[in-house]
Amino acid sequence: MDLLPRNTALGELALVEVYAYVDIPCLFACRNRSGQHFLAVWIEETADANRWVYVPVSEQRLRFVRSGGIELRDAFTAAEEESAYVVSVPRGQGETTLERVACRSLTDAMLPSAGERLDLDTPTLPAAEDEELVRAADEARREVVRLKLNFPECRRSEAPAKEFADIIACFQALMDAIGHAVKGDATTSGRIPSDVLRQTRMAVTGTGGGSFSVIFAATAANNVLNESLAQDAIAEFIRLAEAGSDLDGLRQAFSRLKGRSATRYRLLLERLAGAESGLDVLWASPRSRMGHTVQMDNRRVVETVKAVSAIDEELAEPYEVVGTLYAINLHSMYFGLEGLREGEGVTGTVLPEALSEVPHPSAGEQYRATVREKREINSLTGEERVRHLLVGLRPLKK
Amino acid sequence: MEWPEWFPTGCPPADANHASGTFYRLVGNDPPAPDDFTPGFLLFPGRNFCKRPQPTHGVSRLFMACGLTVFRAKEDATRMKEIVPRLRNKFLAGGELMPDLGKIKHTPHHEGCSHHCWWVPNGMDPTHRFTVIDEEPA
Repeated sequence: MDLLPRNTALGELALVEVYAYVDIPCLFACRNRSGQHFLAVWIEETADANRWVYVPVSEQRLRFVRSGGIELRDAFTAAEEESAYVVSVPRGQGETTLERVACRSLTDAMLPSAGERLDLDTPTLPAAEDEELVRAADEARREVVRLKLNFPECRRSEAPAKEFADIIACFQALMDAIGHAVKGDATTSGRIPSDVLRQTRMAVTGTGGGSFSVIFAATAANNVLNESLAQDAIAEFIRLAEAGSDLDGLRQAFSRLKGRSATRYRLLLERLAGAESGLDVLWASPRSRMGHTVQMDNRRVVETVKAVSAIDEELAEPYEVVGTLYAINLHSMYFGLEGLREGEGVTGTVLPEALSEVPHPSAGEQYRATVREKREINSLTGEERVRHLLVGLRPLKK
Repeated sequence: MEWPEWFPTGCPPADANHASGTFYRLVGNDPPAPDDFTPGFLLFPGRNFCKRPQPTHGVSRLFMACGLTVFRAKEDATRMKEIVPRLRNKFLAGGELMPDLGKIKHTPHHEGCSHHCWWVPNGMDPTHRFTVIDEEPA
């Protein structure tokens, strides 16, 4: 840049990026020919010269500064080299002078105000290229999926651990549920057979930039026909994502995949919606040798949650519990039923339709209750929980 | 509209608009004085400003140096005072730009930045169009 010092110990500098510009670049990053980066800020203007503070920074530190990971002030006072340069650039053609100073000696008048940070999107991991993933899938003969997430709070290629872990776990659970359904023996509850789990198990094989992406590969390789249960499960997942919030498309898909898949898909989407993330999926299959992509922004994720929730409720299969109603509150719509058989007790929420036959159920009486389960995420703890909904109630005598 | 003779050919850029709307600028005097509206090209004579268009807005540093910085968002201008020590003692001034005051272009250096470059035509004195709106510089 025109105002960068020349013929000094800092080397031949070139401007990398401007962060503040007022008639001239006022806060910027530059780099010399050997690759050393500097962060520079304009500190003073006199009749003869302009003065700047230059501080050497590593590339990693610079990325951290531009993403807001550390305050601008700290970038100067707590520099890795512990020394900075005060550079005087003459207005005319005179000599640029350079003074090396200790970072701790920089005064308030030479520093950005406390609390000021940059806030720029900063990839800190290389993005995994689509072609690379397709090639990796082909070479290893196994299915590869890349989920690209974008967490609005993260300016670097980083992800909040809790939300990220939950999304990963939900994705695996969805693969298991779909795989179970594709096998043709899906149940709404209970354990999924270990044989299915072995075939749908995914391994995290890498992370990458471009927002934050996580790469999964099926742990089981495809068979000689280049087919696998993981491949079928991923194909169904892609179809679901492509259906978006279209109720008919989703109903059609879940008529094959059954209730557990709907619940698991809803839970994944709820995790994404809760993290304010969208979802960008790339599927690389050795069978097609092509990448298949689907994108959902956060708004679409939220819309799809609503649609899948409706279907999930339709598909939830009710079951009966016979027992003594020991608690009933029609204000809070809470109920508690102790089953006649040991271990069959259930507590939960009374839905209005449960009261159609018995508008005023009494505690202590015996009833035949129809209950439906709904899996939810506790908004406070983020934990998954099962909520029991009372949808029907009949006196036991009838 | 006639431009200063020291403007390079093609400056202001063809896609700049007629100046219009409320903008904010940091000035050293209250009320603003003519030297508060001196472009970088004149403040730093003899410098070799880069002629390559900048990727974020397509305007070269040479053209930028011929113009003046104004912000659409008051808070962007105020923030410059916090970030850049040299600007801490400046006053925040606001003004209503009219087409006779030249050309303007949005020249953000990052997403969401309201930085505009304003090219003032020959013989136009913009000082009376701006009024200091903050009380005391920090």
